Amino acid sequence: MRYYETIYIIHPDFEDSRLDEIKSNVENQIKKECEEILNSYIWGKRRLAYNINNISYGTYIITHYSAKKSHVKELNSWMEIQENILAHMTVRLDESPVVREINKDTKLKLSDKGNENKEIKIKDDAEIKKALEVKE
Amino acid sequence: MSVIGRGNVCKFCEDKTIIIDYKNVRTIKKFVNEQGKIIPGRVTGVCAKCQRKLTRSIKRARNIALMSYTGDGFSY
Repeated sequence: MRYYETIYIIHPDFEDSRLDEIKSNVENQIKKECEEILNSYIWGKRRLAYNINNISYGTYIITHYSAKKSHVKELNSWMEIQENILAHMTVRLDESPVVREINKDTKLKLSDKGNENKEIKIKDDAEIKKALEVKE
Repeated sequence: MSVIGRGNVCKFCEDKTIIIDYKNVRTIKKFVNEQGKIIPGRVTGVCAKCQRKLTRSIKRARNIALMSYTGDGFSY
């Protein structure tokens, strides 16, 4: 088993729900051969260096997984048939990729925001109290 | 070896934090001609080992439309 990285381009006008649908489709295709998916994330929307099917922009999606050589060949042939995927490429990785922890980051960010709000509220309360005291 | 030749140190060996990868196009595209051709290592001072990695990553970037084959439309 070796680690591989697959990158593929999708039409830029697709909405998030449709993007997720395609992403999950690809993931299911990878999972069919009992492979382990480490990462699967949207890299971003970029301008293409040259037009593919008369389209000049594209959203890139990256997946990291471990698989056998024969499975990767099958995946590539499956991806070529797909209409929604403009272009794709698989690369063998020398080392195991770093697992992204997107969920944890978002949770942390949310909690930080909550704390900020709380602090602001407390400050507001203190100010109101002060103001009231001055008035009294 | 001439003294002038020694002054040109490989950029990637000097700074190990720079990763030669097809995804970080910003660093790679400095080693490409205006016409999109790969500049030889003897001009840029990149060592042979790093040059091999560079060419591989440039060719990969071209394949997935991150860099152009012909080099039109961007300047550095």
